[in-house]
Amino acid sequence: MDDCAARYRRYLEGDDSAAAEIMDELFFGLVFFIGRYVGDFHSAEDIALDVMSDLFVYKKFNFKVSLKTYVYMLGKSRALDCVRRRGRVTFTELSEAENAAERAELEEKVLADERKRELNAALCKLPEVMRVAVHLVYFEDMTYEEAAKVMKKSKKQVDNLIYRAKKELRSLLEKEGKIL
Amino acid sequence: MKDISEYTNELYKRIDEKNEALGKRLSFKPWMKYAAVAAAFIVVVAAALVAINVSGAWRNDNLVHPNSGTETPGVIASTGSDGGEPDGSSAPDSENPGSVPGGEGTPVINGDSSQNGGNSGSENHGGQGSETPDKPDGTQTPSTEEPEVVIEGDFMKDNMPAVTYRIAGESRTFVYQKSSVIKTSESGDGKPTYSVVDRYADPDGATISVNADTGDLMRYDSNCVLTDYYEYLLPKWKASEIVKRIVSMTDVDSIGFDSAGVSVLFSEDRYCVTLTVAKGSIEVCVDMAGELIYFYVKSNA
Repeated sequence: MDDCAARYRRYLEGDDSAAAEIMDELFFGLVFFIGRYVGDFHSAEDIALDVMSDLFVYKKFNFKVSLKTYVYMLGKSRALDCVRRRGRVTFTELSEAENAAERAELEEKVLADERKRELNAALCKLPEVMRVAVHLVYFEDMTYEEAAKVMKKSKKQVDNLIYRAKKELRSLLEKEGKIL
Repeated sequence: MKDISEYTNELYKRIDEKNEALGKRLSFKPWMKYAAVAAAFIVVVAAALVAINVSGAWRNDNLVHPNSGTETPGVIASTGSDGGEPDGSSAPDSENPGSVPGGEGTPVINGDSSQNGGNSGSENHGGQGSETPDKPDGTQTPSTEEPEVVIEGDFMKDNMPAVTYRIAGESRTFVYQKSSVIKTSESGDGKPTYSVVDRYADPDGATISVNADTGDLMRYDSNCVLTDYYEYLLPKWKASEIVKRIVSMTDVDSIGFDSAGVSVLFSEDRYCVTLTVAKGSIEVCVDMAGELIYFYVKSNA
């Protein structure tokens, strides 16, 4: 059983401090991941809090996948709901500068490695589906199976997406003089 | 940006609010007992109806179709992977692509050879196919959107296979150009995998690439810039089927598959696929019904 699942079991047995530990482990990564879909930091933050609170209130996690995979599946689903509600209209935040600063701070928290930050910048130029696949595998260290579960795709499809994304990223980074 | 402890406090607040809301929703109001009795009654009546139906009391046996029970399975056309040679000699050993079998079929004139990389062109402008995810909490979001890519026809045009897609409401005919094999290795289990990509072109110079494994469809404009990316399962086309069979029959790693090229030659009565690798080539010709005409392995050694 993964660490988060063990903590969740502790939470179910009445140890409320386990919730804080799970938050500590998953929250910022989740906000960053949801941000890929919804675009702005504050919506991502709100959705992530909603996902985490649902996890602890409704207690539907069945331990069949890792807790992280489950939470990311929920996060993706909620993020897409949010995007759909907006009707694919891009809102311009009034506090765009503040939003960008918070996003950068979050990026620093989640992506400690400089190379990963460079990769993240290049990722923005890829189609969303490739971006998400790379994010889950390289930033969240998920296996192809776990990424496939989050993305609701087969392992083979994730494999293909990663292959094509890497090819595309390599040429993008080479153009910018950064070799992967 | 807030500290994690602040977020955790916010989380506890939300948990309390949701638990409170949940408690309110579950609290028993006086009128609910009438609703509960009514619901129980409906359930009992429904169960009784189902039981009657299952026991056959209402079944009319005379309604059984006269043809039932005499079902004959249809014949599935096969492309015949293990067929022998037309002259009676045995088919080549699939594990030994280097050995030359006895077949003396007419050598195939290679069409334009294509190297790996059917996916050329930048892929950074892809629009997304519609996605209707299931929610992990068990609820499902029903899809109401039409698929964006629909095959309208699959036919020959100027002796070349062509396919008509309706993409985002617009109908376009694409003529087959070539197939490529892409290696999609580095998977979790370390085993290399291969995908076949068919490329088609339209009269305006736009092209589409269809991944025969995943059904992914990429559309490029005449400048090779990716304009659309659809994740939609499309039927496999025959050339892809043949190449996949060659790949599956061959120990691809031992023949340097990285450098493989695929060419496809069409005529009125047959189509032939040639897979060229560093150590030689493999040619397979089938007739229009998909029956094997010959299989030929040529070694450079």
